[in-house]
Amino acid sequence: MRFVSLEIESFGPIDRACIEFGPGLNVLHGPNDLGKSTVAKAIRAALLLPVTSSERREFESWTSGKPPRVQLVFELDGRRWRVDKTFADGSRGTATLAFSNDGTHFTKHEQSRGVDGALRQMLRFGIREPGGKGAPKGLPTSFLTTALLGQGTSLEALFSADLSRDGDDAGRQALTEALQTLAEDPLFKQLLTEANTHIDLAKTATGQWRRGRESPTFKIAERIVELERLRDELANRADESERVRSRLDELSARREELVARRHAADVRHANLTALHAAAARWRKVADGVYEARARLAEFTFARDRQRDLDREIERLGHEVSAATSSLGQARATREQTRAAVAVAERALAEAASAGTDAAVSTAENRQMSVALELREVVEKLTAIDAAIAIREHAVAVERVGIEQAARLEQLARRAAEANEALSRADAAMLEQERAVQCAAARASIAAWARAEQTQAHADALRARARLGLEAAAARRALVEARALPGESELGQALRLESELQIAERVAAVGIGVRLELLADTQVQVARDDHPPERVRPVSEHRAELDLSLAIDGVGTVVISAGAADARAQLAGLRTRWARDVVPMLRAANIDNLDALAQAVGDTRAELDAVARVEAEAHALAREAAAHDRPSDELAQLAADAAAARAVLDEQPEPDTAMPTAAALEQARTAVANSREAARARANEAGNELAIARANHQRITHDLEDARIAAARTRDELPGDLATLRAEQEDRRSALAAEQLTLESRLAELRARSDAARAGRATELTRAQLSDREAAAAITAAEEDLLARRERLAAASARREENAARLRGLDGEALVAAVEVAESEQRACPQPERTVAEEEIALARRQLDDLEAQLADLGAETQKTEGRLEQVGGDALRRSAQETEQALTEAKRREDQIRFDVEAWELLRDTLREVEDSQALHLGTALARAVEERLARLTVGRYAQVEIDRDLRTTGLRADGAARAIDMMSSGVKEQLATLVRLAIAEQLGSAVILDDHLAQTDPDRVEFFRTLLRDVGERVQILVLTCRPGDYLTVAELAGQTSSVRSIDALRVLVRGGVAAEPQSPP
Amino acid sequence: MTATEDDVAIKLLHTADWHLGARFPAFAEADERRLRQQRLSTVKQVLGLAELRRVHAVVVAGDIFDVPEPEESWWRALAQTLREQAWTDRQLFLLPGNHDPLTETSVWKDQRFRQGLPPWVHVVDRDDFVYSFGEEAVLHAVPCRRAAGQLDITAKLPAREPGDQRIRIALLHGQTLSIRGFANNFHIPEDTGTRLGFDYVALGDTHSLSIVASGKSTLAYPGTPEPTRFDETAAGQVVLALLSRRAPPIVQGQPIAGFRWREVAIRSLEELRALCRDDLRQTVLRIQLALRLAADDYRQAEHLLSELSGSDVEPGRAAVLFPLDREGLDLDTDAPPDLEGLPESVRAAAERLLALGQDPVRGQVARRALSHLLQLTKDARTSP
Repeated sequence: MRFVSLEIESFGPIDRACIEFGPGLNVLHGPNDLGKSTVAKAIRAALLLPVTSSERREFESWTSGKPPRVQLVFELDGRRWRVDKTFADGSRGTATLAFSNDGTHFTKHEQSRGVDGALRQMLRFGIREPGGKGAPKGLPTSFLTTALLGQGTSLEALFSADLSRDGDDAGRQALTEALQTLAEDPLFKQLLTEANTHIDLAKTATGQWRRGRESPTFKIAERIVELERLRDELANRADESERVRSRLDELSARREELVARRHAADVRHANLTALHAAAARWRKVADGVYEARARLAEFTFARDRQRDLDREIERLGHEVSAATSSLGQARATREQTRAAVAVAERALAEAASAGTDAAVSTAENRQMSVALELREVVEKLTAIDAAIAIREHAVAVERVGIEQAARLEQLARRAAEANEALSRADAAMLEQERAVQCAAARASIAAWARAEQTQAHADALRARARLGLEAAAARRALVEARALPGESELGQALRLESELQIAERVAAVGIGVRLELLADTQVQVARDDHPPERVRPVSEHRAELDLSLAIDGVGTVVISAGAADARAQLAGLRTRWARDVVPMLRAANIDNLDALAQAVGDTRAELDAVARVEAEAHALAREAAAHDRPSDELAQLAADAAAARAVLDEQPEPDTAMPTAAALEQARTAVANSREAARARANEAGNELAIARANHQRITHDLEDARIAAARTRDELPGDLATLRAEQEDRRSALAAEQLTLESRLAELRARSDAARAGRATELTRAQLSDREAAAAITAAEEDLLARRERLAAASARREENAARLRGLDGEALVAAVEVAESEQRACPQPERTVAEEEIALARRQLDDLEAQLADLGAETQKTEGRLEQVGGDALRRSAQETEQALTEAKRREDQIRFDVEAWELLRDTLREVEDSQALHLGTALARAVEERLARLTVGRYAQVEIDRDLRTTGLRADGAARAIDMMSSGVKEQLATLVRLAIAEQLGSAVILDDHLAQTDPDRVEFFRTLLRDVGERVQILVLTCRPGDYLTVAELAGQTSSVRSIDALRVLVRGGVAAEPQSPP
Repeated sequence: MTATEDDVAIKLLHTADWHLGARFPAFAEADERRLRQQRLSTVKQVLGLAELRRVHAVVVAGDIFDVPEPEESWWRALAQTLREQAWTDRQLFLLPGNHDPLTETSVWKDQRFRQGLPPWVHVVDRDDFVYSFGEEAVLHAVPCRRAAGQLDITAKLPAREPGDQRIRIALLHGQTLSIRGFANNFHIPEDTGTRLGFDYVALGDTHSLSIVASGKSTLAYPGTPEPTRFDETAAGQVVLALLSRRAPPIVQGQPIAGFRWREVAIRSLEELRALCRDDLRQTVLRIQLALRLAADDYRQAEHLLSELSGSDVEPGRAAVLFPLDREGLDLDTDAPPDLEGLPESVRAAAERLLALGQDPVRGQVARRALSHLLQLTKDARTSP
């Protein structure tokens, strides 16, 4: 490659440059800080840097706002190329590559992104094409760009560069072709090439496995990825299958458990039902026994009563018979008495008697009264006996009633106790419910308190964040309100200040004036920027730049120091200063740039601080947001807490600490169970009480009847019946005795009457009396008979009634029934406990619940079995096995490929080791090209240089010993680097840029290089950039050119930014 | 009394486990394609045999496809193959198996496939499937409805009615072997035939031929007609069943496979040579190498292996070669190779590799590298 021409615009400090190069040695010289090194940068940028790369900012113009532009024309392989680049963002950045076959007319070859790729491909510097993974970013470097384009500002740049770090092998290949190494043996070369070919197919230059489609492992790697994906998918499905199967096993086990529990629940329910039925049966049996006994008692009572009634009827029957016979007798007697009366009357009629008729009559009357009274007493005695029987019956019933009442009372007590227990249990349940409610209420209140606290914390954080942001905003506003320039503006101002100072130093060479004027001459002198002052006519004055003499009557003489161009430059810089910098300082109210720079720095620091404060505030805001709870959630918590407080207000404070929710639930369950048991007991007691009450009621009715009957007897026969009976008995005895007395008296009286009268009247009276007695006896007998018959009828009716009742009662059957009932009761043991309906209902619910769970389980089992449709079973297992096998095989093949590549690498490394040991490599070839010149340069001190296969210069051999390159002096290193660069350039036939490359070389060796450069320049193009042209050029060459040496005055071809001079065309 | 052809009331061709669409991921892409294509070719052979032997029916006991939803090209190809058979008095029964169960999304429910089947093809798509061969015989079948399960599908089979003297055939897919905790497929009790009164129980699932006779009842697995793995020792057959009312069934296997699967261990160069002399044109071959050879023999072995596997230019000796594991081919460095005539640098490299060949860690790589060197140098010395 050879450079032909270079045009630069707005490139760093260079405003414009236009340079044409010669074919051999080109020496671009000029003072420091003119931009010579920038020319090399421009060449590198044109050849290597993409136009939109961020590194272009380094080249942005210091003075103008225009984007940097470079146009480089070069020749390569017989064709002339022109690359034109404008470095800018986006579409403003442009690049074109054109070729010309005649050197004048150019045809576009590439543009935009394609330019850099084409350049890298054609130049073969070992830089990968741009774009894609691993492509270099920014300004790329390689061994050859470092060696040939002067990249890197230090010597170490070349000694630390080597071919192994290149992006591709183009540089190595170019050098290899040039140096024609490994030519000793074609078979060795073939082996190495073959090995490299196999390795390059699989690995990159940096030793990484290639992943592109051309890689031998690409297909197998893809296959492995696919198989791994399939294996994972099958594994997931197998896992899913196992999970489904495990789930089915779980469901099966759960089903077994539920079936067992259902069986247990069924048994429990059946047991409870049986217990309940047994209890009912037992109660029924007990009731049956009681009923049987009651009926038997009823039968016994009826039977006994029947006997009593029979006896009474018999007695009454006897009495009726007696009364009937008495009546008959009385009638018969009446007949007799009638007849006697009739006789007596006839007799009386026949005779009259007086005397004792009245006494007889009186005695007869008394006798009649006694007889009547006696009859009454007898009737009364009978009534008393009946009343006594009634009362005794009432007493017996009352006794039974008392017993029943006592039992009733006992049962009532039991029922009351059971109800009380139930009430206590209800109360306990209620208490427990309340406790649970209170616990829940407290939990709600606590949750609300926590939420409130959290929200308050969030609000506090948010407030802090807001304050921080406000403070930061205020501070930022204050800072931004300052009228300070930006970094680039400040940089330009600083550079301008520096240039101005330089220009002033250049221009301010100093002026000295001695005045020797006439004595009375009035003269004023103004020095530089100072105001004019009157001076003596004879005086000396000095100034740096300007001196103005105002002589009265003559005029003003202005003397200026410095060359015109320097002054012009100074003026221009001052103009720029006034235009660009002064307003800046004024706006900032600062009088110098140092202070301004300080202010800008302070502002930057303040803004950084503001940014930190803002960041902290945002972090607080995020933390606050993290703590925020949704408003509806807060409202709900508040409502729950309010409701909870209302609940707690109604409750008394607990005496002890609140138990846990689990303990409360457990207690609640225990209380509920106790309550159920108490309810059962209360129900049982209630049932027993009801039965006892019914019996008691029946007895009460019987007692009432008996009492009424007894009360009736008391009404009829008030007083003590025994006493009354005794009285009546005494009275009867008395009456009977009196009756006997009266009979004897009456007999005596009658005897007397008879004596007094003739028996007829007495007879008559007696007869009449007897007749009356007979009649009364008949009446009494009739009444007695009637009464007895009535009593008999009543007793018969009662007996019939009782008999009917008795007929309805089969005594034997009742006895048998009692025996049966009792035997049943004996055979039916009393259940160990009573079972309440609720308990059975609970057991039923539990059973139903288990049935429902079984049904749900059945549905889920079906659904899970259905999922087996989608998972694999044996088919899946086989697929998984085959996939695993295929994956194993694929990995094995990949391993074999890698193993084979490893073998090729080992072969290559072995060949290279042999190569090293026999010094057959690239570095050796290059070293040979350098060593001869090195030996001449150092007068034989250093005859050998060590360069490895990657062209890294590692050291020199001096006095038979190896010396590392780091041990060499800077001068030797720069000289060696120059020799290596020249050797590479010569081997490749390429231009080389040497930028102030011999700064520490002594004059003798400089002379050596001057000669060497001319020699090498005969074959390749060399571009030397230097501020000491004398090191490379003769005086004559400085003025003109030789056929192989071109002197380029940088001042003529290069314009720095801000300077008004036009670049001059080269001669 | 043994049955004769005259006694035969019904002649069946019993096959199963076609696994159309099965993949062979361990093989190279081209070989896998051949293996997949062969499966349909073998089905055509089965149909041809059925026609040749004039069977009354072909029963396919499950796993016709490898997946329940095969690619369209597969089921279309099968339908096309069946349509190409001009059968008028022969029936064919397709039973869904556990690889291609009768699910809602399976090919069996795809009307495009079903309508493409000729009328003499019957898909068993219900649990009470029955087909009557006049008064002579009857077929009962129960399909698989899921890929895995524990159901006793024989529960759905009806027992022989009193007075039913017909030949009874059961068509099922499942396993007669039940291992505790491992039974994934449908279990079929071995006494199904005798217990339910079936003269012939046509089964599918096992890939190797198996015939179990029990009195008048026979239970058979024909195996897959085209092997799918190297360890299927008795695969590649179909079963011909001659069923009579008066005598026990005659059941025999009939080879049908297009490929023979063969796994060979090679321990010497001579064994390798002998293998190459065999006719392997219909063989799916897998070679286990255990060769440690001197340089010349190593090259010969490489050459023979290349012949077996073939190249882009010429086909290999084996119809299909399982990807070769070259790890079993090693260079014997105890017998130094002939380095005479090689340039010094090359010889130096060879000697370094030879020395490294004894290293326990890198020896194998070194021996392979040396084999490359020797091959290249041989090629260089033998080429003009």
